[in-house]
Amino acid sequence: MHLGPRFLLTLKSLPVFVVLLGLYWASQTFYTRHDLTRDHLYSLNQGTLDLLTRVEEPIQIQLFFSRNLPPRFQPVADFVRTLTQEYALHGNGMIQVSEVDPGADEDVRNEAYRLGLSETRANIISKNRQEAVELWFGIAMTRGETGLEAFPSVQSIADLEYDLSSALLRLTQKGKPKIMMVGPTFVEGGGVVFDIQRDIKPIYHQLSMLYDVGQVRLQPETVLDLSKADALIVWGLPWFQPEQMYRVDQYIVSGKPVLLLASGLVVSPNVLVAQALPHSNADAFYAGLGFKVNRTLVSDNQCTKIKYTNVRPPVFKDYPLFPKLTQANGGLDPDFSGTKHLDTVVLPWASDLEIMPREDILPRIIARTSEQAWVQNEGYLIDPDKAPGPTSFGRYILGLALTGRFTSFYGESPPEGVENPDHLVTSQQASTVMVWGSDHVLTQAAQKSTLQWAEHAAGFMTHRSQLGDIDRRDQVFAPIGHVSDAEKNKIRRLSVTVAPALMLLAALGRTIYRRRRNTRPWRGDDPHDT
Amino acid sequence: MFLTVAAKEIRHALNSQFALILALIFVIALALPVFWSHSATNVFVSGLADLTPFFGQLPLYLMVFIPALAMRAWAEERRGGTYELLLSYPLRPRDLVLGKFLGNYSLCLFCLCATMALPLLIFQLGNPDPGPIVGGYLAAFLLSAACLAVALFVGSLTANHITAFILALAALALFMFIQVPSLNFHARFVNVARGIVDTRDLAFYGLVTVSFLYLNIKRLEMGRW
Repeated sequence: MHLGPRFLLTLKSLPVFVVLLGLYWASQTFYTRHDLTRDHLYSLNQGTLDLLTRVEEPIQIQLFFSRNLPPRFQPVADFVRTLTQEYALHGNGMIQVSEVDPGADEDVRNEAYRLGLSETRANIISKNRQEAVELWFGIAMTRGETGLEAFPSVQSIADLEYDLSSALLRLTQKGKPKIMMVGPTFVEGGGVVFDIQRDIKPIYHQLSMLYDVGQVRLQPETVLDLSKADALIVWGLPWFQPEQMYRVDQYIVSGKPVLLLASGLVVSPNVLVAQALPHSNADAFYAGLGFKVNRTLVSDNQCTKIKYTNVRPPVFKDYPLFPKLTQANGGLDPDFSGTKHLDTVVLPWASDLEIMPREDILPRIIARTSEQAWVQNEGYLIDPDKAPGPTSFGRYILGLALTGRFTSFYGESPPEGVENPDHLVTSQQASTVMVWGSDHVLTQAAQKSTLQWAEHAAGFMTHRSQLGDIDRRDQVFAPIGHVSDAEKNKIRRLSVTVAPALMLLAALGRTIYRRRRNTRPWRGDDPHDT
Repeated sequence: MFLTVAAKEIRHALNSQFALILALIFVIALALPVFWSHSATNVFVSGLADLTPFFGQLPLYLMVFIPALAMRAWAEERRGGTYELLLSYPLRPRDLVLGKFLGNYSLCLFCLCATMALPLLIFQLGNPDPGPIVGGYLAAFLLSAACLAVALFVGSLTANHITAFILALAALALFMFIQVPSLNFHARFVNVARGIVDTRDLAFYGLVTVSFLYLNIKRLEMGRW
């Protein structure tokens, strides 16, 4: 049988295509990926990736987006789609992402309402007119029939990954994280005892919705067992026995999160007396963590009001000794996960904190007074009628987050009298200790701001320890600055003239060159032509 | 040897009014959605210093521009009677194909580089993320290489400009709109244009380019018989 040259040619090409297919398979199987964007916009953080490897049940992420979103929503929607697709990609096939438009289908709309979502109102500018439109821009994350986390409206994408991962963690975690609240009872003037179980019940109830909260009413003989705690809230460290303080030390060194309330004073509100705390081992302990509590009593013009009962009828008066820290006055760190969602925190009878630099410990100021604050040093007066005014203003630190690998305050071995074969000297992993300069914040447990503070602090401690560092994505979409109409027209003209002008110039140059070349005599004719 | 062919292609295009007009239309047309349109691709409408919508539409423009650029590569040789002459030269088909490809690709690159005035104007308005811009142009260079290889191969099948254009347009449309994500030019382009440089996408474009150039070479070899 004679095989034509074309057939032979085709046959000879087959191995080449096999090789090309093999190269294609190899390139799709063995690959690397680089995210060139600022803030690694489209790459999940390691904490999220670790979380996704532990997902064992199907999770559904539904994007309820209107089909015709206004222009300023579209880049955000695009980012949300890409980010959630990354969750699906790394979710071991357990995470499904879908997008629906509730505006188009009544059944879908009812489903959205059932999931706790609703329309978002947005102001848009259309044809030089501002109008309000209602649109769907929410996310629902579900696990089976019972697990649900809803984001009614995607307001900001800066923390979207942290929010989605936190929601995923809440949906998938087996059992609630355990938070231990440990500290002595407060002994107030006149024999009134601040009963931890009675007076901080509101905090206990608030936290119990999401956590398994344990309380330790610390007595000198109390044996502290913190082994099962996922996070710790501690106050009154100066009154801890050496072994109790050692347990807290080892807890910190084990890499678990702690919220530490550290005041420099003892306050008895009933008799209106405040005294500096005597210096103790606790101060050296704090220094080891990277901070110092000053023996000051902070006052701030940005303060809350108290009910002043010395007059009839009672009135509400500003009480500068209860500084009110707000996001608006820069009192709370808007980038720190434990404070960014807080509007207000009131810290009664607070002492200011001072950073003491430590190798491997990164301090971060998460709360501070306004610029109109002042302090009392010794001879503290807390009577509203007698408390002194400012002689000079300043800004004082009232909250710190210390992150890093902590070293045991006790060095290479436990303190005398304590047996612990598993003594830890240095942390194997980074952890965070949050410090607030007032332990009397617990006396404000009935206040809504205190409850929110406790809730967010607990959320930060438990989620962060499991999620690791999830970066905030700031300035994801760079807005254009204010541009006048004249500038816009100038930019428009440039956009359609610069490139074409360059091309025409190149063409003109080429034409001139050709004409010059064509009019020159051919060199071969003229023997004198060099 | 293929450089000689490439140089000839470039000279021919630079001497051609058609190529100049095509390039002018291309760069002006790309500027319109970024600064003139009423849609979200307009930075003045979205309020964002972001070229992602621009890059999102670039594949569609290339889908028309590249067939127009490549339609004369082989068809003109056939119609002008120089095709057989070309095949008789002591040039390997590989040199001819690579030369045609390089010559036309250089023009493509020149036109794409001319559009870099747009990001420069965006930087006057705000502080865009340079990552997607770098990714977008990288994706554009790779996509145009792949599209050109497809268009050249399809153009080698016919002696008529218009037929070559239509066939190339249809072939590229197939690759742009195919529902198989791993074969979809547009889906892979959007990924890189976001600033995510994934070697899978780079390899895909490279292999498509090589495959169609190879097919083109084989087509020429068959033409010799």
